[in-house]
Amino acid sequence: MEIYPLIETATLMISAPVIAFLLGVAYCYEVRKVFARLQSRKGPWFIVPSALRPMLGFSRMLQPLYDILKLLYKETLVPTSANKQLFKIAPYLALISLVIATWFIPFAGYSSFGAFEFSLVVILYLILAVPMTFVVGGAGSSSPWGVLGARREAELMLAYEVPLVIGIFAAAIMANSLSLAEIVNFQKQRLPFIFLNPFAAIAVFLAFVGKLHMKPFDIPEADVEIVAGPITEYSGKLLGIVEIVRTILIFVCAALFTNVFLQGGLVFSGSLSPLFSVVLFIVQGSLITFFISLVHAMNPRYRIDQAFGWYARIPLATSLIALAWAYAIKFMFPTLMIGV
Amino acid sequence: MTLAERVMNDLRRLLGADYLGDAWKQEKHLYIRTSSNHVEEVAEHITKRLDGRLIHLSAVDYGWDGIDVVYHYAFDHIERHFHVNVKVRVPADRPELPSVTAAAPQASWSEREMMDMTAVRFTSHPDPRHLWLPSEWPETVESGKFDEKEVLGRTDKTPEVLRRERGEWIPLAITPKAAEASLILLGPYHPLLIESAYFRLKVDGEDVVDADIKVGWNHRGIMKLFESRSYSRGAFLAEKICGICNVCHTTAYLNAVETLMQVEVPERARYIRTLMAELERIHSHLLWLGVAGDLIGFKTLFMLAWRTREHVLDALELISGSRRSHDMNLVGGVRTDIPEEIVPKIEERLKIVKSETRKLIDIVHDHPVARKRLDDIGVLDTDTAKSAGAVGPTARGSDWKIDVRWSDPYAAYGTEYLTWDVVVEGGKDAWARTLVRLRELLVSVDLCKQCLDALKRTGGLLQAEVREPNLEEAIGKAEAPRGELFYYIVSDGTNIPYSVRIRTPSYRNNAILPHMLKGYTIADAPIIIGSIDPCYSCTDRKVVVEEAATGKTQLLTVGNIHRKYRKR
Amino acid sequence: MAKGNLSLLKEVFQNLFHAVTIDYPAGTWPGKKYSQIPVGVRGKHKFDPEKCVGCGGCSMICSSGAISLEDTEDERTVAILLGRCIYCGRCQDICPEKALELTPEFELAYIEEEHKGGLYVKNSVILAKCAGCGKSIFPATHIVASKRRLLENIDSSVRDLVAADFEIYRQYCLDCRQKLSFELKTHPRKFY
Repeated sequence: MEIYPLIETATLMISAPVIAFLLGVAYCYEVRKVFARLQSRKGPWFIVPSALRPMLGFSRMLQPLYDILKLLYKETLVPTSANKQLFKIAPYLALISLVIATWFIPFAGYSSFGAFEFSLVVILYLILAVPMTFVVGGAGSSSPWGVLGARREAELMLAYEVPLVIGIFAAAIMANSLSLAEIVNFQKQRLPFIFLNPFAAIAVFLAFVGKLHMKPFDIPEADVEIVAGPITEYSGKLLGIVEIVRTILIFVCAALFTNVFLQGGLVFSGSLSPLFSVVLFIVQGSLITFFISLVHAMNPRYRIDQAFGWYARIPLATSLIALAWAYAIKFMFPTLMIGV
Repeated sequence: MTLAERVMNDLRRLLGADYLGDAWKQEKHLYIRTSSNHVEEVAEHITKRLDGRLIHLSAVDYGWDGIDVVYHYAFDHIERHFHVNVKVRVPADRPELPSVTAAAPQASWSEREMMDMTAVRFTSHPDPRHLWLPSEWPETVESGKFDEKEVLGRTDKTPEVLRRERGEWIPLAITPKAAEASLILLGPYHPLLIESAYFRLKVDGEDVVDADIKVGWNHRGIMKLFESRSYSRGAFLAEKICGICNVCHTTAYLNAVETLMQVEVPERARYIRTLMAELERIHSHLLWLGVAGDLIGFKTLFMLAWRTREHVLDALELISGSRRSHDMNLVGGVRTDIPEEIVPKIEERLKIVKSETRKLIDIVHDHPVARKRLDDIGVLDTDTAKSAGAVGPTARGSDWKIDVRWSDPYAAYGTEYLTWDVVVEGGKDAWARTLVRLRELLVSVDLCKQCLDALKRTGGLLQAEVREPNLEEAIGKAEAPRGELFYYIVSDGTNIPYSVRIRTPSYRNNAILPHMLKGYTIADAPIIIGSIDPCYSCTDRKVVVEEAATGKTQLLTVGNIHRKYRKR
Repeated sequence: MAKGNLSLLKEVFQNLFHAVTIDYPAGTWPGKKYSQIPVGVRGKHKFDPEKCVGCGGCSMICSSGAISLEDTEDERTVAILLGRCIYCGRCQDICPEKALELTPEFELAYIEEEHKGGLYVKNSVILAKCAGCGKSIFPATHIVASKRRLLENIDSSVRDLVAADFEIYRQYCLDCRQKLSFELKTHPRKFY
């Protein structure tokens, strides 16, 4: 039947952002819980003690979701001297870009548009929209904190984008393809890229720490210096949209890392393999989140010029080594790399 | 010739016929009375040539008889206990004095405070703005012409608007149009500040070009409250001034009161007072470490430091029954004793604190990101520290050894009771101040252990017998965790003081902040402000506005900027 | 260089398995589940109504003026305003009969509709009336305590005499004692 693939695509297109959001909520909860536990305090309850269950429910794992829902029904205030079009449209633009990006990311093998040839390029381009819209929204909010935060966001974006793109393309060069589904397939037939090109994995991980605004790079939202930066003036529904964007972003980054470097969960074969693959995919994502949260807990915050200088040293060097490594491996083991 | 004799000879020579009398009170406190003609020369001679410090200016109001303005100079960092107080009586109908800020920049905030709170007017003060009163308060209030509606109706006008209307100068010399792009206001409500203060930073991109500070949001009128409470109740009021440094306020107040009444505190009470003061210093420095970590974004250090602090607070709770505001000090001694069974528990907690602090010092010392945020930030060189009158760890981090416990020993800090040493670092930046506080913490742990050992072998009374006040005035000093705390009490023979004047260490350190903020970025501003350990509850205990016009020769002082851009 | 970083890594991994948070029990009386409430915690006051003599010593020494004494026709009320109290404990120290105690109860927030007058801790003592003129004199417990203290400290040779006299003039106010001393045979002239 010709209509069946259409229904399948439509189902995947609707469920991909929803799953991305829900898993993003789970990963946000994990960040908060691990951050708290590393400081010897308890985070939001995973299982609420019985004395408080009538008041708080069984589990507080959906706490990030409750925060977003609370924001969505509050009043939205727009500053009178702000540029209203830019201010209002920036969060929605980021949300649409990320939703489209989730259509291209394979979730344990399932992807809305199948094996699109240039999905890697599309994804990297679309998630660039998030910091850009922060810059636009912050600068258009007519508050000095927004302007300062927008400036810092732009500088930080310049810093981490280069190692990110070079690192991911190093893996793509080794796999000889720009399609995420093919990169995952390539790893399934050989080793995951975290073993084949560890330098790329390190560079991309460090870039993701900056992209997700985790310490030491939460500079644009430094609350003791600039009172929440570009999102200072957002409130109510617009702030809810901003929080949804950040929740989906953490899933997108974890999923991207898992697909490119950890074989995307597709290690099993057999009858129940789809279920195991999904579970492994989620577990791999939470492992990435754990390490990001570990870095988040162990560091203070850099100053923006120090952060730019740091990104121009270790991550950039590592990503260039990864690129050279990719070419060297391709040159030295041609039969291993090229097609099977 | 001793320093005391030299000072007296110099002052006699300077003042000539205006040397109206002197008296030695307390232990080496010299009170000289003079007229108002020579205050500037005296200030210049003492601070520049004799290397003294101007601690504070006090005003004691005698109604029709005039106002007594007392200049408190301290030489105790050269010769122990030696202070010189110069008293000037200004008449009630013309309370004017020349300002000594040009000679001693430390006087700037004290004089502004006096102008805000009392009727004294200092002519030729370089920056006579209100520091404590709101900016829109009228400069002079003539009786009968004070229109309440007119003044209160102006509360929403910024200094920029007032400038256009009244033709006044704008601080920091920027026009209202340029202020939109280059003026960043930190406060009065800002996530960086624990209490309210108002920093105006003139920025160029992210670099801070100039800074200005205004305080006064926490004012509670405590010095006025002291004047209606007896001495024994005053100790409990003094404890409520600050949330972090309670014991040192009572200790300083009671040092002054016990000097007034010429009462000797018994030995066991001395050790108990020292123990409480040092435990409080430990908890205050750990609190500061956590807050400094939070200001550079190191939230894990914040949690770890405050977790360690819980042990100290548990020890304090075991002794006195509450974590802060212990209500243990009374005139003549302490109220309750430390029973035998809690001493091992306190010692165990001190051991934990010591090992955890060592771990925290290692963590901060070796962490690359933390060191990058703290090194070479907020540099305060020694000459500026001396001329601006920095106190406490702010001064000790700039290679200047001043500490009240060493130069003016009270309680059990003298050499006959305990052995210890003052911690001085030469780095002059925020990292040096961090190191000073952390090393002081370890010294305090050692002092606590010495006190506990001494308590085991010292018995005796806890409180001495209290009589009526004997002297007319007394000065009491203590070393708060933030620096030198100064109380000046004037009595009239009854059991209620006539006048109480307090100068807290944060008062002096905050005045140097505008100088320390210049040349760094906005991202450095929180940690610079945090590194002097501001305690605005202490600063605002009374409305006294004064502003520090510090500066080296190549920097424009705030006063010069004002004169340059002021429109007439 | 590495010592501090390894120390930090070790510290955070140890913290992962051991949290120092102590749960605050929701709505339970303190002392049951807390790890420690030390003995000397100064909280809400408690009067022992049998011991309080209504002398007003606590009111005179109160550091913040939170204790007030009020007399009506029949009773004297000592009221401590908890909102003004700084919980220093001087009232507990000075009470001559040890009737006032600061308990460790520190959860003092309350809802006005449920506990009317929860802001005060009050104790009332009944005022004895003069047998002669009928006006109120000292609190009854004060008289009992005075007798006890007087007889404890007095020389044993005159104890019985003083006890007998005390029983008589305790029923009268100061003015009536003066006026009726001859009739009641409590005047000192009976000794010569």
